[in-house]
Amino acid sequence: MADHLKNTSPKSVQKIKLEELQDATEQGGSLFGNNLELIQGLKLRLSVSMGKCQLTVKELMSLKENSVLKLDKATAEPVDVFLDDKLIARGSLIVVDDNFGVRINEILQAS
Amino acid sequence: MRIRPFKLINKTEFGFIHVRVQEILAGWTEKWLLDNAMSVAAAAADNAKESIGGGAANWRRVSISPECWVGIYASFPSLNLLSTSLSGARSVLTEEPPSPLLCELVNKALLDLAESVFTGLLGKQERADIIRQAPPEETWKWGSGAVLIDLGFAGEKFHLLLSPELTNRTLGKVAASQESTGNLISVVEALASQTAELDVWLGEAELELAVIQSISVGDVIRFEKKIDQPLHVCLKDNKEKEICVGFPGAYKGNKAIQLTIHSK
Repeated sequence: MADHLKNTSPKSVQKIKLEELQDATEQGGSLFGNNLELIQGLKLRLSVSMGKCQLTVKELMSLKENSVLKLDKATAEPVDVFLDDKLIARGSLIVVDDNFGVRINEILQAS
Repeated sequence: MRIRPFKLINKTEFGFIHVRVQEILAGWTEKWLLDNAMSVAAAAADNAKESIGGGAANWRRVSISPECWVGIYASFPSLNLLSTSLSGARSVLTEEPPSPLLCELVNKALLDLAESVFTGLLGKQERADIIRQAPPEETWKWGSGAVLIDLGFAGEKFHLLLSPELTNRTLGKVAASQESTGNLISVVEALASQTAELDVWLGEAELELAVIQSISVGDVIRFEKKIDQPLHVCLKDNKEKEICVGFPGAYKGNKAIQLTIHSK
C-alpha cells in the first residue's frame, strides 16, 4: 500500500476548521492591474455582421424563397467585426480557401 | 444572490411568447373575447382541464387582486426550454430539485409576461404577485367567463388562463373602444406597419486573446462558415435566434442577401 494510503494513528488526524474570510476592502491593491498577459490563452469569439435591414411586419410576412433583402451597407463598404457584441474592427469580405473571411482595414491598435 | 434585471423581448426565445401575446392582445375584440370565454366552457365539456393536465407545479398564478389574475400553465419541457434560454445552461430544470436561482429566474420571466398581459388588457401597470397555484375549480365550469389562450412554446404546452374578473374588466374596455373604432381589422393588418430590424451574420471565428490583440491592418481572419453555407438572418440584438438564412450578393449598389429554404 502506498504511503499516503496507510492508516494513520488517531493523534495525527485533525479536523480542519475553515475560518470565515473577509472580502477585499477598497484599500486593497489590484492583483493584476490591466495586465492581460495572464489570460492570453483565453479563447474568444469574433463575429462579423454583413449588414442590417429594416422591414415592416407586412413585408416580413410576405418574404419567400429567393426574396432579396437589400442591406444598409454599400457593396464597397467594409463589414463590422465584433468581439462580444462590441465593434472592434472593420474589414473587407474575402474568401479564404473555402471559407468566408475578412481582411482587416481598420482596428484600434493597442498602445 | 442578486439577480440582474433583464428585458425579455427580443433577448431570448421567450421573447417570442411576449410578441405572440402582444399580437393576440392587438387583435382582441369583444366578439373574440366572448367566443373564447365560451370556449373555456365548451372546452370544459371536452375535459380541457384534464387534457392540459399537470399539477400545481406546472401552474403559476399572477394576481393583482384575489379575483383578478392570470394563470400560466407551462409543461415541464417548456419550462425547461425557458430556463435554458434564460440561464444559458442546458436542461437545468431536470435537476432535482431545481436551484432557487433558476426558480427565481423562471418566476421573474413568467411574472414579466403576466404583467405585460395586465398592461395590455387594462391599459395601466398594476403591481402583481406570483405564486405556484393551479386555477380554482370553478374556473373550469361552464360559463365561468374565464379565457383560455393556447400560446404554444417550441411545440410544448403553454397556456394563459384569464380569470373571469379580468375578462369582465377587459370586456368593458374593449366594448368602449369598439364603439369608437368602427370596423374590425385582423391581427396581421394591425401589425402591418410595425417594423422589425434584421441583422445578417457572416459567421464566427474562435481566437485566443493574444491573437486578437495582435491583429493589425492587412491581417486576414478566416471564419468557420464555408462559402457554400448560407448566412444567418436574425432579429436585432438576438444573434442566437435565427429567423431565416440566405446567400450574400449585391442589389442596387448595396450588399444584399437572397433568402433560401433552411436545410439543417
